[in-house]
Amino acid sequence: MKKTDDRFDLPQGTLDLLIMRVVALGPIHGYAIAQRIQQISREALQVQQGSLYPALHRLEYMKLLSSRWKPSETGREAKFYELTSKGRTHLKVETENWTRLTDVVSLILEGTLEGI
Amino acid sequence: MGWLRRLFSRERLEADLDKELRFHFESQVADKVRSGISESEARRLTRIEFGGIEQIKEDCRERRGTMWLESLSQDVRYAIRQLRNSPSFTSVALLTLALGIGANTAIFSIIQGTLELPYANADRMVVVKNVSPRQSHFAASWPDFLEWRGRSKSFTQIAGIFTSMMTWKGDKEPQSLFIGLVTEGYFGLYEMQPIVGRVFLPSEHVTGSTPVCALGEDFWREQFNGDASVVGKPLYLDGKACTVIGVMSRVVPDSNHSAQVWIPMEPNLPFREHGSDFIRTTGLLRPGVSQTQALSDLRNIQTQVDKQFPETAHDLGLQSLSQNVFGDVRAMMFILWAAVGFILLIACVNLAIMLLARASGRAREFAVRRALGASAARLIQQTLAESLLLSVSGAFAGLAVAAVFMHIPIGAWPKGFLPPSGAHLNGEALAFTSLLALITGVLFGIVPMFRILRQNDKSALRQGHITTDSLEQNHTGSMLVIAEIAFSMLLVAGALNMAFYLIRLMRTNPGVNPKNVLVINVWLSPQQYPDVGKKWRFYSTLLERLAIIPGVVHAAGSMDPPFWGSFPHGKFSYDDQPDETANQNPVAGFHYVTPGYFETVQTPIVKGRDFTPQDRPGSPKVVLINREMADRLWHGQSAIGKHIHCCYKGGDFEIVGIAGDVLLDGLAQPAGNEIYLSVQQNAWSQGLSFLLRTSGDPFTYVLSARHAVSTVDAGQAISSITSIETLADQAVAGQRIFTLVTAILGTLALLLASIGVYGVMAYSVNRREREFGIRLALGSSRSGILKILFSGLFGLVAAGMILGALLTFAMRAWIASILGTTSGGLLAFAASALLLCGVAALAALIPARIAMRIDPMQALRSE
Repeated sequence: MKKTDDRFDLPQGTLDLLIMRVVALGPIHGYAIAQRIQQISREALQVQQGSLYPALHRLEYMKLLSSRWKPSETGREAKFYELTSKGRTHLKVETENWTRLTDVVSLILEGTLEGI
Repeated sequence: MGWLRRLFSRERLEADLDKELRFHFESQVADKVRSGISESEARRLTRIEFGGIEQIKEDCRERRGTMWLESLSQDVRYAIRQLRNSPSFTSVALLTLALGIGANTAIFSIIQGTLELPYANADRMVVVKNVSPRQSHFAASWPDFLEWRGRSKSFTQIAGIFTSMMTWKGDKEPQSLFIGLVTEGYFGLYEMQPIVGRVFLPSEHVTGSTPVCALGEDFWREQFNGDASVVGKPLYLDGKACTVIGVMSRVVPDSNHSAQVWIPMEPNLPFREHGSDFIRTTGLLRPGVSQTQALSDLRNIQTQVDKQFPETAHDLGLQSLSQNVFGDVRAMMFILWAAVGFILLIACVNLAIMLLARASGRAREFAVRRALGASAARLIQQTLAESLLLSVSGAFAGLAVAAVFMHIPIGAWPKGFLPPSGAHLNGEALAFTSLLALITGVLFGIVPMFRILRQNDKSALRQGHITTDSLEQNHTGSMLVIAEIAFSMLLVAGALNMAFYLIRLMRTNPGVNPKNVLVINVWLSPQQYPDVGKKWRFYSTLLERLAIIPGVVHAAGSMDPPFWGSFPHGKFSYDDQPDETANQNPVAGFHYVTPGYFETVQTPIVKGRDFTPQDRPGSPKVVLINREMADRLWHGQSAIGKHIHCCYKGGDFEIVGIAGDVLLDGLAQPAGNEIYLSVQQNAWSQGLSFLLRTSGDPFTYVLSARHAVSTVDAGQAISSITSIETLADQAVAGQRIFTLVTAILGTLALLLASIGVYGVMAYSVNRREREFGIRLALGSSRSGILKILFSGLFGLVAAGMILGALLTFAMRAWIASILGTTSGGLLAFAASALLLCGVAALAALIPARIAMRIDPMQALRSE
């Protein structure tokens, strides 16, 4: 069920960053996280369950996320994830790293190569 | 400990995970339904999108961090199942481990428990030795001791003991007691505490002080039933009263001071002149002072003393107390230690062989599991679990074996050897040996795995692939078998060597006839028998009375009955002595005997005459010498009529007879120079042993002998009664126990070697079943198969034995140097080779029988 053909693979570690960014907006369950990433990326990114849940469990194990069961919007119980304070710091650092990395990469990729 | 909690709440976590994924699934379905897809279609599509839900769960679990623990418990359960499924492998591996670990732990525990001195400053305690051969192997006379203690700067403490005997008139008949005369500070140095009462006061260590004494713990318990009220009461020793001031704790494994009663040395020492070197001196080195420094300090002092008294000059040596006490036993123990080390090595090799065979046998299982997606790490982890399980249970079994094995040498511990009171199972030893077994297990359990995993070809998977790998082609396996045979050879040859040596020892004619000779030791009190005349009167009267006891064939006296083990040595000069040896006089052992001694012990007088009652104090002093000495010094010319000059309170002696050689020194040493002197002419000692050659069991004459003593002096005690045969047995007791233990170890080595050979052969037959089937089908005879099997095995056994022979030769000199034995040589060697071959053949029998029964049709059809 391919909606778009311009989807691409996420570089290693980026999924964690995206998840944490989404969770940072407030307590949210797994399905909503997948939906939100899809929405924000304008359907360019589709997170597979097979990647999402192991990632969530890993982040929880690393104490970057905490979880709680509570009723969802449909009334059913769902597992809601939240950022821990450790997760917040981690997100901040990783976001800065990411920005720096992309800046540098684009600087090189978009440069005129005159300096060489 | 989050992972632990998670492990225990595993079911809740599983439920949560399931619930979480279900929620996702349902939400996705609901979204699709909302967008207009039918419910059943929505479910189908979602299921496709989801993919393997179990796979997701597994990934999540793995991220959770309890994975390894869960799989470990799974592995252990799997390992138990695996081991239970192959009971023969498991029991043989466990037996191997138990024997290896057990023997090592036992020997190590005994060494640790018995060969350590229980003193806080044991490493600084030294004994002063007399290194010039003289009357005494102790170094100090009373004046020497005072000089050392007064002037030496190297010791924080110096104390001495002189052991003697005194007669005590208890409730019953008189008894001879071992008395320890100790200097001030002796109890402190040996860390002895009073159980009751107190130790001697400094004022009691002064001549002229009120006589006091302290009881030894054992004596106190035996004679006074541990009654504390004995303190303050008088004890009568040699007729004189001393006040009991305390009871001293039982002492240390130092046979040189097992006194029944202690008295201060200063007021009571009978010999106080230069030359009476009877004081055993122990010193506590000042911290930082080396033995060498202390020795040169003592030597300087002694040199000055010797200048004034050149007649009694003697050279000193220092020896650590621990070496002094344990020297001989320790040497033997180290040999045993090396031997059990080899046992452990054999056990490890055995384990390696079995694990190797097992891993190769399971190559197919691993290949299948690998193909089904098991990770290499997972398979290794599983093998590890199995090895661990095996090693741990082996260690426990080893503990049980050690507890049993330890009691074999302890139970057979000879008298006069150290009591292994401190020997208990040693945790360190157990830990060490178990660790070694563990490493072996892990190493040999896993190494073959790497090979299997690396191969990565699916040949093992293919049905019916034919293996022909024989023993010789399996290099690791062959090396292990060779090593095992070599180590076993070393141990078996060693054990046989000891056994042959012992047999030879017991068969050697000692030069005396030890059968049917009763030995009665009597110690005369110096108060009642102060001079030579009085002593001799007692000795000769008693001898007359003993000789007329019906059934007594001969009676004689001697200061050192054969196999007694200690007698004075000293230098002597002699007629016709080459001038160049004037400064290095030869050494001889001195034996004081009465007329009739040689007849009594049945040592022939080969030339000249025995002592006679006419050889009395006023008449010319005469000696007999042994044949060895006569041959050595007078080269076959008659030594009769020659003169020698020697001995404590001695002088010039004429040789009147030559006696046959006697191997006195525990049978181990060759005959040396021995000089026999007349007790009548040199009765300086207070003690004499009376030897009675009897018809029949000598111990039936004890009562008559006691009666004879009491008719000569009713107040005289007999200090001990034994027989020459008993003394001879005790002389080889150390050898016997050592032989027993080496025999046990040798048998153990054989057992382990046979297990190893069996394992390898069984494995080989198992692996080559199809090959043999084909051979049989192609017309090979069954004996041909047998030939293939055994030629392979015996190639390895032969290689192992050659290696073992080399090893034995390499270690032979070392062992001989410790034991002072010459090696048993070729006989032990040939016998051990034969034994090993036999055991190897026997061990190979069962696998060979299986190979013989192979049905070619079945072997080819299998799988």
